[in-house]
Order: sequence, then C-alpha cells, then structure tokens
Amino acid sequence: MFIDLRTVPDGTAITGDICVVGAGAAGITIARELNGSGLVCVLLESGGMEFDSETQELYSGDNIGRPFFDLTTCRLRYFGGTTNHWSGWCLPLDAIDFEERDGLPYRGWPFARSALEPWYRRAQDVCQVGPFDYRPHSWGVLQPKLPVPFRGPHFVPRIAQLSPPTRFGSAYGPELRSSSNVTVYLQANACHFQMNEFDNEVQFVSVRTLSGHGFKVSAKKFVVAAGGIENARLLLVSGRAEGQGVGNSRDLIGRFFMTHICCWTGRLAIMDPPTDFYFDPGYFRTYQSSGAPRTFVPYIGLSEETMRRRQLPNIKLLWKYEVLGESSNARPLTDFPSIIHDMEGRRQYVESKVFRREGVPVTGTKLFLNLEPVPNPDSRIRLSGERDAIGMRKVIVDWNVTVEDKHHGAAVLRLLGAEVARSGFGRVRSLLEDGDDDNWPADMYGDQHHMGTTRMHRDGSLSVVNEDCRVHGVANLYVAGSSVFPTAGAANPTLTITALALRLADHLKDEFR
Amino acid sequence: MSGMPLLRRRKLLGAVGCVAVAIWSAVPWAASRSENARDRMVQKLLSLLPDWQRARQVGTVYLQSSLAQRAPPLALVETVLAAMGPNASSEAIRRYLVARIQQELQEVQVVSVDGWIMSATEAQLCALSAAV
Repeated sequence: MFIDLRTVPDGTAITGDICVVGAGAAGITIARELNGSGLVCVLLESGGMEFDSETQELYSGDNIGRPFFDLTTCRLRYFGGTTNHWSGWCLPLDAIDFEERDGLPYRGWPFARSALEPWYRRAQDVCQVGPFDYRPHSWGVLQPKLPVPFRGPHFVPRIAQLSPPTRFGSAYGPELRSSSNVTVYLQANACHFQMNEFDNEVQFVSVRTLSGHGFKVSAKKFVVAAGGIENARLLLVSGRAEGQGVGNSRDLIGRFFMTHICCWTGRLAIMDPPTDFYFDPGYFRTYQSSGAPRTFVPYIGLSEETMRRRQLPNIKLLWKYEVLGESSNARPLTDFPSIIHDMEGRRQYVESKVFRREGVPVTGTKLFLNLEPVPNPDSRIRLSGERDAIGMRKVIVDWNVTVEDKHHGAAVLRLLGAEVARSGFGRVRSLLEDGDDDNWPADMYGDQHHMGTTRMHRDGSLSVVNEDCRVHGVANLYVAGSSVFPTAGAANPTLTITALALRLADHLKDEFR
Repeated sequence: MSGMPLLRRRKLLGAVGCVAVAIWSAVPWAASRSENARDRMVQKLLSLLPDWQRARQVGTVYLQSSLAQRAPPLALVETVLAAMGPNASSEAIRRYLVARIQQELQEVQVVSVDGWIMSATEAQLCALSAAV
C-alpha cells in the first residue's frame, strides 16, 4: 500500500514491526523481502513517485574538502532513490576486498566474500542481470585475443554485467503497492531517532512532511537505508543530544567517507598503426551463449596476486580511443618507437592485426583509472549549523584522499607502462608522475559511490555497525547501504548493496521468529 | 671512439655532471686508453638507436631532470663496458641491452621522463644521445 503522508492527519501515530527509512535499492529490497512475511513493515520515502526539486533540495549541503559533486545532483530523492539514474553496472566485490592486508590500513570486513555469495546470487535477479558468473571467458572475452599486457600476470581482463538498468521504484513499486503488510509512506522525511533513557534502543523516529505535518513512527526494529551520506547524517542528528549521534561513542559516524577516485591518468600510445581490436575496456558489448543476449562491459583489473604482492588496492582501468588526427596529450614527446632496434614483441601486433575499432585506425587510448581509495578517517561527513526546510541540520562533506592514494595510482601506471613496453604493445604516459603527492590531474573526482560513513569492520573499535549491520550499542537499529562498506574495492556498489540488504532482511526475519 | 671529436665528448661530460667527470679523471695514467674504449662504446650504443631525433627529445628531458644526477648516462657506458668488454660487437651489445631492458621492465625498474614510462636503461640511452 502507498500513502502520501501529507494526506494523513498531523500527529497520527504510525506503528510497525520494522521501519525502513529510505526507498532506494536497499530499502526497497528489504521491503520486498518482508512482503508476505506477516511482519508489519513501514517504508518511509522522503520524496514522491517522481522528481521534485523542493524535496531534492533537502540533500543540499556544503563541501569543504576536495571538489565534489553538488549534493543535490549526485543522488535522487524519490521512490526508487538513486537507482532512478543508475547506469546499471553490476559486479561483486572481490574476495581480496574483504581482507585485512599488509600495508593497507583500516581494511577488513567482518566476514569473507564467500559468506556473502548466497545473497550475491540472489541479488543478480533483483538487479535483473545474468548468472553469477563474472569470469571473462564466460562472456566471450578470451585470453588469446587480448593484447599481451592484459593477459596477466599483472593486468587481467574483468567484466561487469549491465542491468537494464533496473529502476527499483518502477520495477518493484507495483508489488509493494499490492502488499498487505508493507506500507510505503511517501513525502515522509525521517529526521530524528528518539532513544530510550539508556540510549540503547530506538523508541521512535520523528517524521515530517514539507507541508508541516509531524509524525512519530514506532517499531520494534529500524533500518536506515537513506544513502551513503544521509545514513550518517540521520544518525548524527539523532540521539538525546543533537549532534552527538546514535551509536557514536567512538566518533566514527561520518568518518571514512569514501568514493572511488577517478581521473584520466594518462595515455597509451600504441606502437603500430592499429588495424583491429577485440578488447574494448569500457565499451558496452553484448554476448549471447544461450537465451537472450546480455550486455556487459569489459575492463582491466589487477590480478589478485599483483595486488597482494605489490600492496596495491583494487582498480578499474578503462580507456577511450583516440583516432588518427585527434589531438592527444602526448606532447612534447611524440609517440616514439622502440628505443632499441627490433625490440622483441613488436612484430606480433603487426602480424596479428589486432588493432582496429570499427574500421577506424586508432593511435592510442586515453586511460581512465578508477582507483580504490585508502579508508581515511579524516575524510568525513559532518553536520552543518545550517538547517534545511524541515529543520534538519545540513551536511558538510569533507572528502579527502591520501598521499598513499596518489602513490597507488602512480604505481599502477608505472606497472602498466612497464608491461606495455615489455610486450612491445606501446608506451604509457602517466599524468601521476609530477612528484607532488597532493596534486592530481585537474579532472580528478570522487564518483557517486558514497561509502564508509557507518562502516563495519572486524575490529569493533573501528566500526559503527556489527557484522549484522546493527549499530553498536543500540539493540534495534540497523544500517543498510554502502555506508557500511569498510573498503570500497573497485566494484560499483549497487549489487553489493542489494546483496547486503537481502542478507539483512533474512536476519531481521530470523530475529522475529 | 677514435672518430668522436673531443668537443663532443666534453659536451657529453658537461651534460652528465661532476660525478662522471670524477670517474673519468680518477685514473690519469690510464685515461687515454680507457677514453678510447668509452668513446667507441658510446658510438656503438648510439648506433643502436633507430630514431635519433626522438631519442634526443627524450634524453634532453632526462638530462634536465633529477634523473641525470641519480643515473647519469655515462654510468650506462661503464656498465656495458664492464659487462661486455671494449671489443664487444654491436649485435652483442644490442642483445645485452634488450635483455637488460626486458629485465628492468619485468621488475618494474622504470623511470618517468615527462610522464613516459620506460626502463632506466632506455632512458639513459636516450640521455646519452642528447648529451653528445
């Protein structure tokens, strides 16, 4: 059932077994799992069924760190959440992303990827992608057809599956509308969790509409699923003393704010005039083995062994072709051939004629690096003194990267440069070799994958939630979404968000049995 | 290198800095004979470059960077002389350098010259071409 909260008399008490705040990928997934469970589920959505600028403005805040997206544009605040403009990339985090690792601080999920795989498999269906098979050869990306530098041991092909993309609101709204035990309240802005006198249990969540109505929603259990920034914001503004936060005795809520670090990091100059190309990292492809053709996108990753041995984080490397005549950033050193006559490896590319993109000769590619950040406690979300239209304190985003991040990016490009030169494939020019640890190419940005602000971790003292996504010290408050990720990996987060939401829903149902 | 003018050698010396000067002048009684060997080796090394102009471009940037102090191009000449001896053929030197470059790339012993990633030996070789 759907109810526009503005039509409900002011002050009406709303109760349920489980209250979920936020109807994006995580919130809708949990509500769907509770549908038919017999549990009374209240799903609160700040917006309506369509984009509304006044509601969207509730996202507004300041940025005091590195340049960052306008907060009112990088997420969507209506039913379906940010899946309403999701590009659809689906891939799981790698097993190594879950591990504690030497030389890379603050890492370590409280469980291995294998523990999450049953829910990853189910998430595939929710996100409307193919089987849980991310092996490149299963998608027709065959090693012998790849340029040598990308056959390993360091750089390997990877693939992401592409969702249609699933708009969770339109795809799953109808089944929630017909549900007898799930009620979706639209225009319902959760703005404060009221704690009991011992600060260890949520009593109710205060909800307001932009039209000025106020409500209390009581439930036995609460789930915050409002997004990577808003989850932290809602926990920080809650509690008995405003700004102190709920479950924030370690001052961790809002810290470790991560996004993937993205930039055009250089250029790959191909040694010989290209004639054909079978490997298009970053270009959408279709593959049909049985059934309907499915869309995927190949990219270049680091092998697990190389990440481990060289203490490097995960990456996604994509490229954009430069065709003949197109200007490049190769100056002042123009493309140069082998330094030494007859360097081995060069000939095979000429003979195998593996370079051409749709018949157009290319001279090189621009390299786009998507780099996993080092979890950084000084990259954080804080509360502003300014308030939004419903009286809730706005956020201040203080997104930062570390010196190690720059070192990691530069090391990846050096490794790529060595591999590309060694095989005779070409040459790499890195834009990360300026010797200034704080300086990045001007186009560097953090993407729209907001993670880490209510993290889980193996070490309880480094986490906001436990392995069940329950807030430490609060018996009935859970967090869903990428804010619980302690590490970012290189994967787009929606599939993992969905898998974790499915897992949390199972846990909640178990709790009520 | 019997055919290499002194001026060019001096230019080379000037370009690679005082470290190399010290090496060359440390043993004055043997200087003449070893200079000839080095000159010949420089000539052989430069003959391996397929594109002198582009190598010089790379090398010029190298010589203007801190790399020139850390790994002067003359050090490469000494290394090759020590490894191959003064009478090695150009082909033998080419094979040695290719193997050395491949090894450096394998081990990611690379340098960045204006952002271009190349093996340390490749870069030194380019610098040699720019220094003479």
